[in-house]
Amino acid sequence: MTNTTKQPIKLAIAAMGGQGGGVLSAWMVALAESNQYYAQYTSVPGVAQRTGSTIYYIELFPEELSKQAAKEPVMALMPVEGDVDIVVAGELVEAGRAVTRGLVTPEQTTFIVSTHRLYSQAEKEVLGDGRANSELIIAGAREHAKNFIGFDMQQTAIDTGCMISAILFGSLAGSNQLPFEREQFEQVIRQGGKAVESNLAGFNAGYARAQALLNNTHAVSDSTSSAQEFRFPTATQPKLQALLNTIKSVLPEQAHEFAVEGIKRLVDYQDIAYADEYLQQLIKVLDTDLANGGESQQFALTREVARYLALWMSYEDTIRVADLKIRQQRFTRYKDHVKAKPGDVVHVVEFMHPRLEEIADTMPSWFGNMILNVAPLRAMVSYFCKERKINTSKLGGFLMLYVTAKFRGIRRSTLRFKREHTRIDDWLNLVASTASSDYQSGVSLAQCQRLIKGYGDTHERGWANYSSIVASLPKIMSKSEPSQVITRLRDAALAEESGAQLNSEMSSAVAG
Amino acid sequence: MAERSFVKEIQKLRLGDGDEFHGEGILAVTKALLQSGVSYVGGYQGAPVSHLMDVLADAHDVLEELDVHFESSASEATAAAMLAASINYPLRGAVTWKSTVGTNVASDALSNIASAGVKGGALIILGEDYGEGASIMQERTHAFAMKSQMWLMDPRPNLDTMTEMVEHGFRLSEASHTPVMYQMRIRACHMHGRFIAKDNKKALFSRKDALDNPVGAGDAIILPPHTFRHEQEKINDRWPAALDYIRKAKLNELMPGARTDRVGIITLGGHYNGVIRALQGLGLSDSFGNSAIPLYVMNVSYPLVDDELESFCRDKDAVLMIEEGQPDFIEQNLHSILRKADIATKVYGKDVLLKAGEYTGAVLRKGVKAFIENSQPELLEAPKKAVREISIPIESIAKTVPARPPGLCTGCPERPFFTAMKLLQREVGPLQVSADIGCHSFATLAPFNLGNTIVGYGLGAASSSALNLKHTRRPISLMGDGGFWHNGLTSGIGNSVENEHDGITVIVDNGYSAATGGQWIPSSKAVANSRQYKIPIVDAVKGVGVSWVRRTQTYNIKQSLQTLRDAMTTDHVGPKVIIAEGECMLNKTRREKPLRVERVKQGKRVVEQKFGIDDDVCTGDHSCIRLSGCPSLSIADNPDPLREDPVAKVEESCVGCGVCGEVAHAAVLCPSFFRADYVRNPGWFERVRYSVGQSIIRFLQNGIEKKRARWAMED
Repeated sequence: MTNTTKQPIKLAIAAMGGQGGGVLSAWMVALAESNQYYAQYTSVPGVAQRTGSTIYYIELFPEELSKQAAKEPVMALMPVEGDVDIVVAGELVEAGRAVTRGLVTPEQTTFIVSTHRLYSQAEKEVLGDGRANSELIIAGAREHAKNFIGFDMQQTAIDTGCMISAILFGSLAGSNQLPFEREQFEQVIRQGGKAVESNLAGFNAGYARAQALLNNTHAVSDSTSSAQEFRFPTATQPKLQALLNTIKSVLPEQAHEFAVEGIKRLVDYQDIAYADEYLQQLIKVLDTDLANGGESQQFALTREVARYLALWMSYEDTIRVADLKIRQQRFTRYKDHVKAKPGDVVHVVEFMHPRLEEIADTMPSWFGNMILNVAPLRAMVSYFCKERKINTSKLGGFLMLYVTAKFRGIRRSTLRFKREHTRIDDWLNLVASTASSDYQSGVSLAQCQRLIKGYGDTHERGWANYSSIVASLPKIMSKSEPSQVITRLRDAALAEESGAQLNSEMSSAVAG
Repeated sequence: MAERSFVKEIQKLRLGDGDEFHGEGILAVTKALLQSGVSYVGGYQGAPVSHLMDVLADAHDVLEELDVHFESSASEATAAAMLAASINYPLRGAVTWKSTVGTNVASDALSNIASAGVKGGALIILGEDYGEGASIMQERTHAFAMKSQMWLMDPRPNLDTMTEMVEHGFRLSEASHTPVMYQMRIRACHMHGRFIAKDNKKALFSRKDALDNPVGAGDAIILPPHTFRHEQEKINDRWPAALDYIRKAKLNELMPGARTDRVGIITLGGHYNGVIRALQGLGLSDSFGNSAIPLYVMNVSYPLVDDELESFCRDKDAVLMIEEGQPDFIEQNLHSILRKADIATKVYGKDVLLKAGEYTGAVLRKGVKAFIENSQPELLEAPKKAVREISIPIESIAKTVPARPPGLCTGCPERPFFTAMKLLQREVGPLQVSADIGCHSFATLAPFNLGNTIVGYGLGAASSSALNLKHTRRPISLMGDGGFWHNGLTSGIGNSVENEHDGITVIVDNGYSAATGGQWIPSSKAVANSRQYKIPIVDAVKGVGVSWVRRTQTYNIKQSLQTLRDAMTTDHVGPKVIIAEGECMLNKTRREKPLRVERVKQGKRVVEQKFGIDDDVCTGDHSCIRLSGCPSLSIADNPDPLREDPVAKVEESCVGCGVCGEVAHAAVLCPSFFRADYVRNPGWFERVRYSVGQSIIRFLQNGIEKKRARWAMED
């Protein structure tokens, strides 16, 4: 009747259906029932089972007290906001959702969170980067909890070779919030009889991490690894070192990282001369930058062009794809993907679907144009344009790509090369002239290169979006804050595929 | 039933007198049916009662010993009609389904059985899918009980009460000659708890006795003048008999209050635990339900026992009526009872609780608190203060957290068909799609967004009926194989033949009633323990007169797309039916994975396939994701320091269904996908051939790497 009466232990598991919340709950029930506790457990599987967010809820109560009272405890079937002792979240966004549902309170809740992300469809399908802000969720989760135990349990699970539920169970034990000994937890896993060894290994890993985090409340539990600091490299090849020297002496420091990455990429893509061309273009951009007060703008223009010019100059053509597919490290990648051991037989199959355009693009421009424009030739080449599964790990398939990659030698004469470089030149000129009238707009326009990516239709859509922004540029430049207008248009183009968002932004941008 | 095994659960059905049962609510109720001497059980699967069906379907031995007939009914209407056996014979029977959808389907039979009345106890176990996680519209079963004069039980959610109420349900049914609905909320169905079991009971009157001595009782027939008499009987005889039983057996519970008699709470049994938790939160109850305030707990929510309510309310200033959902039938009824008895007690209810929506813990606590504040505030303690200030408010986290609705599983065979439909839309423009109920309902969500309406199970085709006209973009109706056998064959396909419908109907044939847990249906390809299924849908469709029928393998996107094109453009007059075939991956994996592991162990050659993405080839546009929607196709940080947008990534969970490659081909996407074929236990010849090939490849690769090494940079 009074508040001094012992309350049940209330535990909620926020997870995605099929993520192991059921296994964890079953362990909890077994743990309680084999140690003289009542356990009541419920969930709402149904459709939520299929990868949707869901909550499992468990209450525990000592049998001893029940005997004394000669009455069974009455336990709730769903968590009450503001009255949950332990919340376990098997994924970061589900942790965030548990907070927004009011389950986590600074007065009461120990919050055990795996900080890894499983992206939702809404985040994945964006053309750009639609991911939720993980740092905010981690900070919020930490702040709203009484105790916070958070780390990337998915990674720990992969490292120990178990399912994430074992890590969560270990963390629960290591949180010291339950009236059971470590031995009793382990006993449950043993009695479960399934994957006992790997589950125990995972349990131990989770337990250790939770204890460490508990003992050191200031420990940085799991900040997402920040980008490595840039260190200026050296090369043994003298011509390459010369380009590096030029970067160091001529370009502002802010542009070094992208410029170095740029020449690295273009040497790999084509040759040293191509990288040199890149650098010369960049130096021209620097002139524009300096002439327009770039120094006070942290040389944003040079820096951004360094990035996007390298990407544009290394456009993805058939030659490049073939080149990337036949590399040694690529062979290591697909073997690692299936966790093969050295010496195992692993084949790799590529899914290629060259269109007439790609074939024409890879040919010398005169011939490429013929393919596109001379009907009989077009028909003949079309015959080869069908979907292909290429077995790169077999000699025939490998040689096909090996030869394709050799086309690098004639890349400069190909139809695609000519087209891309005309576009690049137009872009650079437009960036320069735009920057001269408004510096930030020049930077924003340079960044619009981000829209042009992918292959086939995807590439064409991106190009069309970019072109529509360029076409409206004169109108945009007459508005106030044109750079923000360009940025908004770019974001709209990256938000979804149909182009509706870009269209509506565009009509408001050019209105009036 | 299906590819899952329920051996452990079946053991629990065998527990005897004094054994302690530990397990799920719905399984406890199943056990209680056997303890009550039931003679037959039927039903239609669906969350949250699938488990009852699944376990009984596998429990042949137990059922045989007790001479209990079990069947998976073709629909809820079939299940309800099964109760007809109890009209003339003292046979106890139980049927089950998901409510309110199933009750809708069943209501024709229910009305008639309720009119005729029953001799043997007839129990309808309803899995009430209401509130969070519900996959259906939010309505109350209560209305059915009222309109047909059936009794509705809503027991307290603990296994003792739940199992006891099953036995009472049969007795109540027999005492009042009325079928009884027994309602379980979804969380109670899935709740793990314990109770002390009793021996199972075999019925004294057998089904064979019924056939030996058929009763031709004309007065049970639903024809005038009997129906007029039934109406009188329901009100004048059966109702009072029911009230009598409820009173005598004390089905509704009166729980005294320790600190006050001036106020009280009337709650449905199903909400009892939540109410106690709310009272605990306010310092007004202990963990054992010893409450400060008196409670009247209605384990029977229809009919109300007027005199019990009158005596509970008579000397109180105010009561709180706790009744979830709309309309507030019971609150209205309570007002009427008090008014007629001239009792002035104030009734609180939906004014302090939610008008509509789920009665969650927070809603109950807030409502109970408001009730006490208004009626006897001195019972409450001063509220506690927050321990610390919060700088990141919940609202800003809420803005960041994306929604995560359920979707089609990894490797789902239905997904590639919807990809094909999406590609078709690129060619012909947006389509009118009448969707249906089943896994394929998820096609209405991103990334497919296919489906303009869903009006009922198996009603996909029927819901296109009004759009029957000549049009270049024919309407498409979707239907699952589950819905097809449930009623779609007649209401949809048969109807479209009869009315020469020009549209396209797609039947998604995954071999199971997949959304409800993978149960077998007539067209399942599997061979069950005791019987064969394998009735081809195509035969059934042709049998009702469709002449344009095509089959397509869903994993073959190109074939599906071509079939859809054909259906869209053909000159054929009348319905066009496409059967999209692909076995449910959950069930397939369940069956095949252990076999595969075993074969690898035995040293046999097995090829394990898995898809992957070359992250240096992927440019981060995510077109593939927008066409696939597979949970295992995700994104990751871009390893390229020049690029910002995340690359696509195939997660560990990939089952190698092949759709990624198909999508890349059919949509002419990008060449970054690969399939890795891991050959386990290859033969010696294969091994030698492979290593020769690899040596030559490595030789060529070394040449490339040497050149690249010259141009390398070092930090």
